[in-house]
Amino acid sequence: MSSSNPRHAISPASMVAASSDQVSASLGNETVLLSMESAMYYGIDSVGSRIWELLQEPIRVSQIRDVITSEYDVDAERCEADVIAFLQRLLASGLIEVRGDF
Amino acid sequence: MFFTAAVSPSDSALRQALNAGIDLDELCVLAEHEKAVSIVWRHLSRVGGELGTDRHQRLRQSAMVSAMHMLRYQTLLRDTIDLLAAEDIDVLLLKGAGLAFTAYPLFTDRPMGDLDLLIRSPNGFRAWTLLQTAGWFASDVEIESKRFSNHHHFPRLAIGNGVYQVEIHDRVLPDEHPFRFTVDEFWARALNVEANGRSFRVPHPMHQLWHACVHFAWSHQMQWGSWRTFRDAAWIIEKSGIDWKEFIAFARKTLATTCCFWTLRLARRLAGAQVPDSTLDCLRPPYSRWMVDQLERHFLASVLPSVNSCPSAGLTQRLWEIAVMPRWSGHGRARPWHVSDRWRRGGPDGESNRPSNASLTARIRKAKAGAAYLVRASRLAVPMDPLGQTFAEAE
Repeated sequence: MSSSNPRHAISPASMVAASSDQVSASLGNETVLLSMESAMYYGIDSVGSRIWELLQEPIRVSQIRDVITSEYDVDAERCEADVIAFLQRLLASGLIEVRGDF
Repeated sequence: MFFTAAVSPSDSALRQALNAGIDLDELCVLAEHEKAVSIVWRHLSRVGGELGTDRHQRLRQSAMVSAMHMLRYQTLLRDTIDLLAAEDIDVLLLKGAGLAFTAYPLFTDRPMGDLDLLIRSPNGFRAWTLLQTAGWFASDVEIESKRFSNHHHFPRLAIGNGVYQVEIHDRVLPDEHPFRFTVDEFWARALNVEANGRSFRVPHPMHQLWHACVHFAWSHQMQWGSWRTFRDAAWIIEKSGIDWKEFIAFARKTLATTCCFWTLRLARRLAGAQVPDSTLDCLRPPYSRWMVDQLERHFLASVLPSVNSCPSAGLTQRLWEIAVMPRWSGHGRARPWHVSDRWRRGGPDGESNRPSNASLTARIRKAKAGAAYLVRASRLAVPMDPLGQTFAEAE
């Protein structure tokens, strides 16, 4: 069962995916998102765009962390905290869904 | 500019073009003119093209706005389809709206200026009226204009501040078109595609490619919408794997061989569309290679607004007739400038299409400019291949 509740706690074991209630456009290193629910636009930078790309299919947060640490110069602990904070903001904007903890 | 229309343009060819001292301001202007900014920006970002700070900011900002525009169109399309479906009105997504779902990886990869929706004939007016209950509106000018009386779509509707527009079509081309096909053929082979949790109906890829060719070569007289058309052709071919035997047969049956030839030849030349030599051989008008090359140079000079474009609307029309061969093609007296809105408004540069009252001196000056243009066009260098490959010339 999926949840777009912004208070839902995201953990490394959470399964997350882009919500079906948004549309996005890639602009090279950046991505523009439109929430169809709130009619708000969002812009995300290059690392955020890479995470967004991964979110197009359901994925575990720990897997996102592993991909980002392998592609960028960042330690796993810091990366995990940043990824979770970023996902929490996406969730609060209705742009992703949490599909449970595994 | 056309490198960015290719499916997978060569990065080295793109860098080479950027380093060759092209006018970057002109590139930005052309990108905006062709509604291509978000795509041009994406390619330039990828190869790290050095644009200069001001230009970089301007293009980036413009690309963002363009992307937002496309996202809004995607949601408007979804809402419109829902509205019409609730009333059991079938919709076929024409041109950009259909291609965005079928030929391109993402909807936003296909910039568009409006949504074109084909509705079965008895329901066209009902759909047009229904949309106006959902915030879409037609300007008085659009409604009162008599030029829509025999047009293939109802007066254009807009929403919000008028930036977003939709056209409800009940036919694919204006009544006066010379092509032997019926809109039922489009409906009969339409496909369903799933996107955004909904099902959309789109024309068969062969019909999409045929429509792109005819719309550009005939309706637009090979003068406008070139970047989008060549890019569409390249992506349709890449994504759908056209059955060329079937396409050639349909082009022949519909009297559209020369229109398809010129669009596909130019799309191959400028956007690297993977059109086989054998297909062009089957579609080409009965001219020598030299003649085809000369006509191609004229079209290459005209596909984007430039100081090198043909200076005379009359000469442009004559060259179009030589290339498309309407009588040989079976088009009779039908010509696009008899129906085209743009020509009725006075041509691409505001030049009137009506007989001129100009003095003899002015006419001689114009004739000289036309002759100078023909010489200039015949010497035009054929552009680099965007894929960094070489095609054998069709003989």
